[in-house]
Amino acid sequence: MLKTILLRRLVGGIFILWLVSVLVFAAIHLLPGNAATILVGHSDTTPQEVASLTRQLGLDQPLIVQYGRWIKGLVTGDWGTSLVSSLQVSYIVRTRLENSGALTLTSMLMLSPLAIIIGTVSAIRRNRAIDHVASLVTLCLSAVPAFAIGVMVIYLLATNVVHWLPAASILNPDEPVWSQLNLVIAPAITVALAMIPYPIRMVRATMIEVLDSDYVMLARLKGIPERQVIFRHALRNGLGPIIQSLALTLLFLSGGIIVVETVFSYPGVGYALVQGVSQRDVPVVQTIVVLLAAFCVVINLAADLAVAFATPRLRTALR
Amino acid sequence: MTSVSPMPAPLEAAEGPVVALLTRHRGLVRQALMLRRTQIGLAAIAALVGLALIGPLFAPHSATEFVGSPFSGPSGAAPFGTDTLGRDVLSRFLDGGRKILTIAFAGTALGIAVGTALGLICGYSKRVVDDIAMRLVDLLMAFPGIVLALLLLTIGGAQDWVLIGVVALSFMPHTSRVVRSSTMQLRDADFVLYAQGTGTPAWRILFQEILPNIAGPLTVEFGLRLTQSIGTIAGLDYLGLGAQPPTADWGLMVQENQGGLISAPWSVLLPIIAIAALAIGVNLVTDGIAQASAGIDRTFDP
Amino acid sequence: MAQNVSRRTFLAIGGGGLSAAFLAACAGSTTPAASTSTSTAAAGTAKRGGTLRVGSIGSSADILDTTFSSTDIDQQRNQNVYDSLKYISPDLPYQTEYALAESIELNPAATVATVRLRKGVEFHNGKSLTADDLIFTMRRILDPDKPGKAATSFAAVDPGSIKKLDALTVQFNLATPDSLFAQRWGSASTNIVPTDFDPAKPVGTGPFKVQSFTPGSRSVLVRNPHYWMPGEPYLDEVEIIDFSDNTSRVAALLSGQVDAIDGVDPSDLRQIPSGGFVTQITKSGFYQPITMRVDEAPFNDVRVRQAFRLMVDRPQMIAQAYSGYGQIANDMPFPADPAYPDLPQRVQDIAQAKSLLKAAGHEGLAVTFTTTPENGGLVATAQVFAQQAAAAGVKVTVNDLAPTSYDAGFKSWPFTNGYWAANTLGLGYSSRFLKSGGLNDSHWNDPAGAALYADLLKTPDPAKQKTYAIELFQRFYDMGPDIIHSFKNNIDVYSSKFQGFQPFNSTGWALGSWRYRNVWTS
Repeated sequence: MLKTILLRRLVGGIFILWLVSVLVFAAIHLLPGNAATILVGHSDTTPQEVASLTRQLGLDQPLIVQYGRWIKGLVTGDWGTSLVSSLQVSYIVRTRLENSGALTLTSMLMLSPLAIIIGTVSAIRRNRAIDHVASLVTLCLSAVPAFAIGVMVIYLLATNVVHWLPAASILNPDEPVWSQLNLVIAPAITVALAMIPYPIRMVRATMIEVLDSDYVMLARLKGIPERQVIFRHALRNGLGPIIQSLALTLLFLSGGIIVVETVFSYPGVGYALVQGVSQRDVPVVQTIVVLLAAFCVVINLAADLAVAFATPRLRTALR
Repeated sequence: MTSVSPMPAPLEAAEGPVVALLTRHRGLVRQALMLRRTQIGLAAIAALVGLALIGPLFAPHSATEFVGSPFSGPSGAAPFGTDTLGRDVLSRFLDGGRKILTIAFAGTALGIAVGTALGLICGYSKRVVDDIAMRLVDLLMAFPGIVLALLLLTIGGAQDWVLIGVVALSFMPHTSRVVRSSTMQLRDADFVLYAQGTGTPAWRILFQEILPNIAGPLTVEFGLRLTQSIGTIAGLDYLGLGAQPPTADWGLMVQENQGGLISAPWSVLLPIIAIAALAIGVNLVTDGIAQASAGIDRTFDP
Repeated sequence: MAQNVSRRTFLAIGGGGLSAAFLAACAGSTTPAASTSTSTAAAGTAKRGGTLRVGSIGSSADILDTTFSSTDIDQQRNQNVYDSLKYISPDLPYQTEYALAESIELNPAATVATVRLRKGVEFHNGKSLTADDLIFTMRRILDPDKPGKAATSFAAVDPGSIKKLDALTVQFNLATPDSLFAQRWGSASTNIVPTDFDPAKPVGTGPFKVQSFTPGSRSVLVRNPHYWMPGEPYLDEVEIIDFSDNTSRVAALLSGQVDAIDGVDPSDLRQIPSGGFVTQITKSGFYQPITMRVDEAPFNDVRVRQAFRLMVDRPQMIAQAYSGYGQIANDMPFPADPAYPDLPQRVQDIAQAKSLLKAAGHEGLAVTFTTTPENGGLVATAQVFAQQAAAAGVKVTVNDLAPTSYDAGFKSWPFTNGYWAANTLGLGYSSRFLKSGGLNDSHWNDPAGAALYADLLKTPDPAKQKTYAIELFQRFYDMGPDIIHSFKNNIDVYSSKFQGFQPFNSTGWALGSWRYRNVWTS
C-alpha cells in the first residue's frame, strides 16, 4: 500500500517537473522579438552578429530540438552559460546552493522547536490570555511582507538600535559557510520570523485535536501525569501532521528566501534568481526555476514518506 | 500565509438561499464589527487608504523636486529628512501608496474572480474536466508563487498589467481549490437538486444557488489574498521589478533608501510602517469576519 | 610625454605652469570626519606586517592581464602586481618619477626615444628584468590583432624598428613625433611583463605577488620580499573583494569585513561614524561626464549636444548627485593643464536649450540614459539629469545596468556616463578623442582636432604646446561630445588602523592610487 502510494507520487512528481520544464521553456522562447537580440542584450549588435549568435545558440532549430537539447543539458548538469558573466551556470549555482542550504537549515532549526512549543502551549491553554496574545502576534507577523521584516531586523540589530549583526552578508567564497555563521544569523532570523506563523497555527490545530481525542482522554483517565500525556502521548500522535506542516513550511520557505537573500545581499540561489531576472540572464533564470520546482517536488515526496512512517497505521501496512 | 480558520459548514436554510444570504450577511457584518480587532483593522485601513489617496494633496513638495542634501535628517524643509537624491521623504511617502493599493486590489479581485469561477466549475463538473483542470492547478502550485512571478516578469517586463496578472496568478490556484471543495460539499444539497430538477441551467445554479452560499468563506478568502497581494506587490517593487524610479512608491522607497538607514531612517521607516500597517489592518478585518462567520454558523447549526 | 591609458583612467604629466585657479581648488584636499591622512614620511615609523582588505566594485570581467586592464579594480590590482617604466606623483603639477626605467631620453625632433632600465630588478619568479622584456611588452601593446589598452598612446612607436642597444637599453623609433613619450607611463596598461608572460599564472615586478584570483569574487596578493624599492611593501597581504553595489560595501566596512572602500558614493558618507574611520577626500580633475554618441542621431547634431549641455543645473547636480562634493566644470576636461582656458561659465538655460532643440527638429526628444553603479555617483547623476531635462521637454529613461552588463556593451551606449581620471590634455586626448582611441566611447571623430594634436606632439616647447592645446579646449567647449558638469571629489574611507594612503590630486585615482606598498598598519 505504502509502496504504491509513493510510486504514484513519484511518477506524479516527475510529471509535474516535466510540465514545469515545458512551461519555463515555452515562456522564455515565446518572448516577442528575436530571441538572439534579446539574449545579446544591447542595442549595438549588427545583423551579422545576431545571425551568428542565432546559429551558435542553436536558435534556428525547430523548438522541439531546442527543447530536447535543453532538457538533455539539464539532466546531465550542463546548464548553459550566463549571458551576463560568461561563467558556467553550474558553477554559479553550485556555491549558491550550498549557501541557500545553510540559510534554510539554520532558519528551520530556529523556527521548528519554537513553533512546536508555542503551538502546543497555545493548544493547552487555548482561548486563554497566552493563546490570544500568540495568535494576535502571529496574525500581525504573517501580514507583514518578508522584505519588511528583513529591513526591520537590519534596523534593530545592525544599524540603528544595536550593532550586533552585520547589515549585509558578504560571504567569503573561499571559506565554508559554516565558518561564517555570524553572516547567516540575520537573514535566518528574518526567514524564521516570516515563516513561523503558519506552523504555529498548524501545530496548535493539530494539538487541539489530539488533546481532545479519545486516546488522550483514556491516558488521562488512567492517571498518567499531564506532562507525560503531552510529551509521550499527545505529541507522538500529532507528529505526523506536525511533520507535514513543517514540510509545507519548507515549501513556503523556498519562496520567501528569495526576497530575504536580496535584502541582505546573501549569495544564495534566491539572490541569483533576482539578479538574473533584472539582468535578463535567461539561462540562469531557467535553471534556478527548474531547480526550485524539483526541490518542491522532492520535499512533497519526503513529507509524504515522513508522515507515512510517523503514522502507525500506514507503517504497519508496510509489512 | 494568513490566519486560516477552518471552513465553516455551508448553510442550509429552509427559506431558500437568497433570504438566507441576506440574513446571514447582515448578521455577519454586525457581528464582525463588534469585535475589537475588526475595529482596529478598519481604522488602520481607513487611515492608510486615506493617506494614499488624499495625502498627495497635502504634500509640502512634489515627489521629485530636490529639497536638500541626500540622506540628511529632519529639517525645516523636510520634516522627515531627505532621501537618496535629496528629495523630501514626507512628500514621496504621501505619494507612494496609490500604486500598491490599486494593483493589489485589482490583482486580488482578478485572482478571486478567476479562481472562484474555476473552482465552481470544477467542483460541479464531471470528473474528466475536474481532473484536467486540477492537474493544471497542481502544476501552478508546484512552486512558490514568487518564482512564477519572477519568470513572468522576465518575459513581460514591469508593466502594470503584467503585475496585476502576476499577483492574481500567485494565489488563484489555491482559491480555486478552496472554492472547489466548498462547491463539492454543496453539490448534493437539497436546493441544488431541486434547481436541477426544475431544469435550471448549470451556470444559473452555480452563480445563483451555490455562489451565494459560499459568500462568507469567499469574503474571508478575499481578505486573506488581499493581505498577501499587498505584500507581493510591495515586495516586487522592492526588488525593482515593479514601480520604476523616479516614481514614488513605498516598496521602491525602502530599497532606494536602505543605504541611508543610519543617517535618515525615516526614509525607510515611513514606507515600511505603512505597508505593514495596511497589511495588518486588512488581516485583522479578515480575521474578524472569519470569527463572526464561524459564530453565525454555530448559532444556526441545528 | 608618454601616456599610459587604461579604460577609465589616464596618466598625465604636467607641463610647465599650472592653471592657478584649479591648483587653488585642489589645495584643499582634506580628510574631514576623523584625522588627516598622512604620507609615510610624516607619520612616524611604518611597521611591517598585517593584512589589508579592500572592498571594490568588480565583476567577472576582472582581469590580471595588465596590458588589457579595463576598470578601476583592474588598475588597483595590476598597479600592485606589476610596475611601469615610471610612476605618477600624487601632487600637482603632474609629474612622473622613474620606476623600472633609470632614464628616458628623446632626441630634439621627438622621433627617437632611448630607455635605460634599472639594474637588479627581479620578476616574482626570479627572472631578471632586461631590455627583452620591455621590447616584448611594447610589441604586445601594439599587437594589431589584439591591441592593448595603451595602443593609442603609443601609436607613434614603430614596432618594426625597436632596437635593443644592450641588456638594459632599448631604442624606440617613432614614426611620427611624440614629445610626450617619456610621460606616457604609469597606468596599469603600460606595466612591464616578462617575455614568458602567461596570463593564467601572471608574474610581474610589483610589490605584491598573486596568491589567488577569482574574477568577480576576490583576489589575494602577498608581499614580494624581493621588491626593488627598499623597505617596501610593509603589508604582508592584500585582499581585494568584489562587490556589485555600493550599499553592501559600506555595510561591510562598518561591520569590519573590509578595511577600506574606494570611490565611495557621496550619499553614503553620512552613514560613516565619526570614530574609527578616516575619510579621504581628493579634489582633482577626476570627472564623470555625460557622454553622447556623436555618430548617430540625435547627438550627431551639435545643436542637440549644446542644448543638452544647457539643460544641466550644475550647482544642483553637485548638491544632489555628489552631496556637495565637487567643483563646477565648464564642459572641458583636464583643468590642471596649463592651457585650460577661462571661458564664460555655462549655466542652465532651459529657454535656449528648447530653442536649439526646436531648430534641430528634435522637440520633445526621448532618450535612454544607460548607467551603472560601477563608480559612486554615476547612477545618481543619471537620475538628477533626468529630472533636470524634463524641464526642457526631454524625456530621459534611466537604464541602470549591473557592472558586468554595462561593461559588456561599453562603447555601444548612445547616451551614458563614465568616470575618468584627471590628466593633462596632451596625455589624455588620444584615448578618448582620437577616432581610433581605445576608450573613445563617444565615437568622436574630429580630423581638425587630430591635426592640432599631431602638431602638439611634434613640438617639445611647452609654450607652443599650449597654443595648440588652447584651440583643442575651445573645440571641447564649442562642440564636444561630453557634458562635463563638474569635477567630482573622490572619496575613500578606510579604518583608522591603517596609514599611508595619500590623496592623488594629479589623477584623482582612488585610495591614493591604490599604492599599497606605502600602506602600513599599527
